[in-house]
Amino acid sequence: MKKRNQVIVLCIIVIGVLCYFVLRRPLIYDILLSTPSSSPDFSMNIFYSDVTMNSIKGFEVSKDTVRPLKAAFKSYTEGFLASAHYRRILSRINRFRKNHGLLPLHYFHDYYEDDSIIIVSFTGGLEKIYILDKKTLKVSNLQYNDTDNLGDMYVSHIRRVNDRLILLGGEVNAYNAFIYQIDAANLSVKKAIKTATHPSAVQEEHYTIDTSGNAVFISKGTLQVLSYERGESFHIPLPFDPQYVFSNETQTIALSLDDVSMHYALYDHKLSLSHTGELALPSQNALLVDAFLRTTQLFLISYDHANNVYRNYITCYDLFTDKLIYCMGLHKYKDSALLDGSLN
Amino acid sequence: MRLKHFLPLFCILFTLIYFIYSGIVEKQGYYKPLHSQVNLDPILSKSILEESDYKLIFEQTGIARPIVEELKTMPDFKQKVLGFQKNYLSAQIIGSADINFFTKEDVINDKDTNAIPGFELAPYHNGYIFLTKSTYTMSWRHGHAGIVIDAKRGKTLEALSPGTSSMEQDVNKWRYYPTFKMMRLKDVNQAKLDEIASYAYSNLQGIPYDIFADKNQGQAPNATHCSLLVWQAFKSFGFDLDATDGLLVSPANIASSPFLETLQIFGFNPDKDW
Repeated sequence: MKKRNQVIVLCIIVIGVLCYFVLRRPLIYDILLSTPSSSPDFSMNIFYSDVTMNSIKGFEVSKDTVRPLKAAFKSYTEGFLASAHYRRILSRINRFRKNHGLLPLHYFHDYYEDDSIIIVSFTGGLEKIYILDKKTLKVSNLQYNDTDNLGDMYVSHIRRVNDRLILLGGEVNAYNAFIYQIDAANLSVKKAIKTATHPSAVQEEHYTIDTSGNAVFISKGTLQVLSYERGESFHIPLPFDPQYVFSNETQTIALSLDDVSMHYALYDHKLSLSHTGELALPSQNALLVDAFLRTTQLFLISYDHANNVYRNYITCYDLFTDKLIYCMGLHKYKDSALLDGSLN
Repeated sequence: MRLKHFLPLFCILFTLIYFIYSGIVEKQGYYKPLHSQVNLDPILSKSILEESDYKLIFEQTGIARPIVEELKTMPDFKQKVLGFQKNYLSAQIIGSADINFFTKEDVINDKDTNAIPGFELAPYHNGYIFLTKSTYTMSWRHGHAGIVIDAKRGKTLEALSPGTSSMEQDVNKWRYYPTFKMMRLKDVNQAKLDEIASYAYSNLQGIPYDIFADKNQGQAPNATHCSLLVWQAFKSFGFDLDATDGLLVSPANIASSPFLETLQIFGFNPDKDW
């Protein structure tokens, strides 16, 4: 009897291991374009999720390979975070809240991290923003006057500019944005500005904070800029209606996609136009998932629902020559969709 | 029969019954419109529509008169209505996705079994109620409900599943369900609906999910589920949306509420509340 039970247990283990390897399907990819002289070195994390957002899988993508990330991930509104880290952060914040007689919170809206601090934003006003010391995970609130708390918002961008943190969020139930300038040393709000935005600027990829701390929004035929220095809005005309705007350390780019190509306008750190151009999309009717600007290279993650082979593409363009210099085609991955990426 | 024989047999039978029932329930819950496509151009070109025109538009598109009236104020009215018609009458491929071990949701699939949005949402505003029959637990097709809290940025407030708390969701997730119903309070102005939505946003976020949570929790509920959340929002303003007046409330109870009017359906039988 004992021997029979051992055999049964062994069979179950073997079946389990076989099932694991059978069911754990890799992400299949093909390098469609890569020339030794011009293709970029890069490292990017991409995240797949099923429609319920319960089954999330991350991959690290480089020029030549795609490998699965071991960590489990949890989603927040604007991205994905390693589950263990998410739980740790949330636990600290809720302990802080409990000590202040407040009920626990459960779902971040936005997450920011730099060398020294982590900022977690929940939907709401300034009172729902928490700063954690990266080493100790000690939690603090922002310091502000009540009049500076402009209202409930969805924080979408945070950027460190010199000794200030610039925080940008969309007002709840309104076509307005809130921009806060925060002293990075003592976490006190120095300036709070509310500005009306175009109705097309409603999501995270519709606005950005540029290298100088200006808030930039898409608008009809223009980019709307709220100046960091002057606190006033002005418009930069564009030859197209922008759909997306992104910034990196030194530049800002506005994008507009049509059926087969993408129009762009690239600006320097002073928001002076560097140049405009048109780039071929990797397939017809490709939709943008995410984009990253790295000096003169533009990385795109796109989605093609009609392609029988490649569901997503990772492409890189040289903005000096307006040429596609790299393209990776990603096959369909289980029942999941590629939702987000980040350039490492 | 000894216990050591009974238990494995019971587990096997339970598992079999579970999967069989889930398979049966998976096939229910979607109503394919029976009407053939009709040319709506002549009707849509009229300056004044009659009752029979609104009825035909509803049969062909799933959008009710208030939505038609709102669309008429938009420049691409005809194009929009024809778009609704095309989606409403198209055959759908329905797949399912696991929410947790016990609960699944139906989703519209393309031919490659990718979840895709199957229809466009009619114009919606704060305080509108979204309903679907497309979630089920074993043989119980309980459905799901949510309330629009930020129409400008496209957000609903929902209580999703055990282990979560009520939270915002993107409205576009509803387009993936093969069944959808949009409702609102009858004869109530938008300012009141904005107030209800604002109340829900401010007071009903972050409440832990409990399928057995009931209506007797007063103004500060400490547990909720999808339909209770919607009920709690409206009850605070004196509107009891539970058509059955029981201790518990379900999406089907809300769908049957006499205080609500239907604005859009997709995959729902137009002759039934649920």
